[in-house]
Amino acid sequence: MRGRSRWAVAVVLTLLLAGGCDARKDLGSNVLWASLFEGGTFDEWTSEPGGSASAFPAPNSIAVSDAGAHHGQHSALLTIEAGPDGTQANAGLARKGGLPGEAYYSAWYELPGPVTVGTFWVLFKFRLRTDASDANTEKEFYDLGLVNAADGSLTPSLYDHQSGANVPFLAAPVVRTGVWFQIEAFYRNAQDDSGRLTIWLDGRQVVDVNGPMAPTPWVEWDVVNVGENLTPSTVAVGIDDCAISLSRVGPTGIISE
Amino acid sequence: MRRWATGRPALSLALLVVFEAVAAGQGAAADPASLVGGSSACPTPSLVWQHLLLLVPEQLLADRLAASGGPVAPVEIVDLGPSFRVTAGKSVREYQDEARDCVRRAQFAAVFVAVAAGAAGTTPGASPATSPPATAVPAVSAQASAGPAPAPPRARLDLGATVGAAMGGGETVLAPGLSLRLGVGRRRLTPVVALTVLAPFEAQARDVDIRHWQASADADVRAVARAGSGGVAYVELGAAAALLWDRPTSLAVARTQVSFVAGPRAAAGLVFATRGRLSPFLLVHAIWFPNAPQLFALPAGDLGRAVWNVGATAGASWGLP
Repeated sequence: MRGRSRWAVAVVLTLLLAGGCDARKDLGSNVLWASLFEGGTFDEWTSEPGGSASAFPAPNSIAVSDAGAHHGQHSALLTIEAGPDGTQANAGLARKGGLPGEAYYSAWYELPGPVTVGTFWVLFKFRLRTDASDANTEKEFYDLGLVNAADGSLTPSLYDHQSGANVPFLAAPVVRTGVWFQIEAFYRNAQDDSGRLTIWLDGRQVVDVNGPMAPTPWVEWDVVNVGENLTPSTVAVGIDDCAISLSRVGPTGIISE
Repeated sequence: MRRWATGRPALSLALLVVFEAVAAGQGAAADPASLVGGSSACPTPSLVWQHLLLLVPEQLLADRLAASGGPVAPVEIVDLGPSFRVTAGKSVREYQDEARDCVRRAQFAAVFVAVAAGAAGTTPGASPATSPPATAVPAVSAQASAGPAPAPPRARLDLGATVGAAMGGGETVLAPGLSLRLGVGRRRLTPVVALTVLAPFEAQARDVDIRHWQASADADVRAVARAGSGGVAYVELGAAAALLWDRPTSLAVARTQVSFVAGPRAAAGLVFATRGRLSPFLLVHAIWFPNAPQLFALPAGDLGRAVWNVGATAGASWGLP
């Protein structure tokens, strides 16, 4: 009888301990694609069909840096020389085509310091094609950039190339320099009234546009440092933890295990 | 609350002294187990028998009891925890005794049996003992007044509809299910085993839709907390083990996960008294799964851990003879 009791106690203890064997259960992911730059290359971009990483004209440049990162050890550094000569300076990472009809696009940025924007400064873009199968029909669509507020601080701005006007903001937050901040957009590229573009800055919704978007389902998303007539003219923007997800990433989201 | 009276020890002592010699002088011994039965631990049937022999000559007692009984023992003693029930032929009486003084219980049971068997008056000294002390004998239960009470079931099979909820892992949703429980024994503490299956249900954790399914088994000890004419209240303590099945329904890459969890379980229940073998019951329970898995998904991150499992079950309890 005593032996049977001991056996029962052993079984119960075993069950209790065995219950803790699987501490974490991974149910899956809504992150369709992510770029952490931890491999020290731009392969996460360039290995994808329609993906690219480029800077032009010289001396604009892109590099993977280990000087700082939002998470991990590496980030991308997009450096442009945007002087007052009227030349557009470009450094950027792009995903073209093959993107879902609706998704969340997220990237983290770090600005080096105060910048005076002379003509324009763009960090986050969507482009379109009027004919989805014809690369020659690509056009600009939405440019999310930074402008100077009256006090000289940096604040976001969204330009709609199709309407040729800035999109009104729900809020005008100050974008700080020297710290990582997140830009995230929900883009439903519908050709009817169900289309939508919503943008969050560090989790705060700043833009919400409803209505028809691009004329075709084709989508291009660019994480860039594109500017003209900036002071100082050399601006290096840090980029990290880029993701395309079917659910919102948010400032606390995890895009990779 | 009625309790055993502590008075009249002299009377009992006198009865013992008067009949000791009579009992000791009996000839062929009757089989006590065939005359006084039941699973009572306090008092035991054998202790009651011993006290009966102090009151009534054994052969006379055996004859009277055998005449009033059937194929089963004509006297049955049932321990109900804070009370006990004595059945002697068609007479039933239930006494309260929260102190659980087993010797005292045996004395009163013996007196009641002797009276019921009509044997108490056969010896001169038995007369004073034909009824227990007034302060010591509580009112006869409603069940006893109405007639002979059925013997308590040897086992109880409970089948009920259950609702359960996992708490701590996101949205709390009540899920319906079925529960089957089996308790064996007539003692105050009885072992119980059970199986419970909840129907699949949807819940959301940090914007991730997850379809859950759960099946659990538990092994417990059931303790009768209170038994009365209205029914039996009990508590259960034990351990439960569960199989959890989680399938995300809103993720681009979905992985179904099956987990095994275990932990302590506590419950409280009521079985309502009826005249038949089937009685309605109600049970509420709580299970703590200290090592419940942490659910995780990208980009939401940790989705929480369903550490607590609570529920309620209502259904029919079948008393197996």
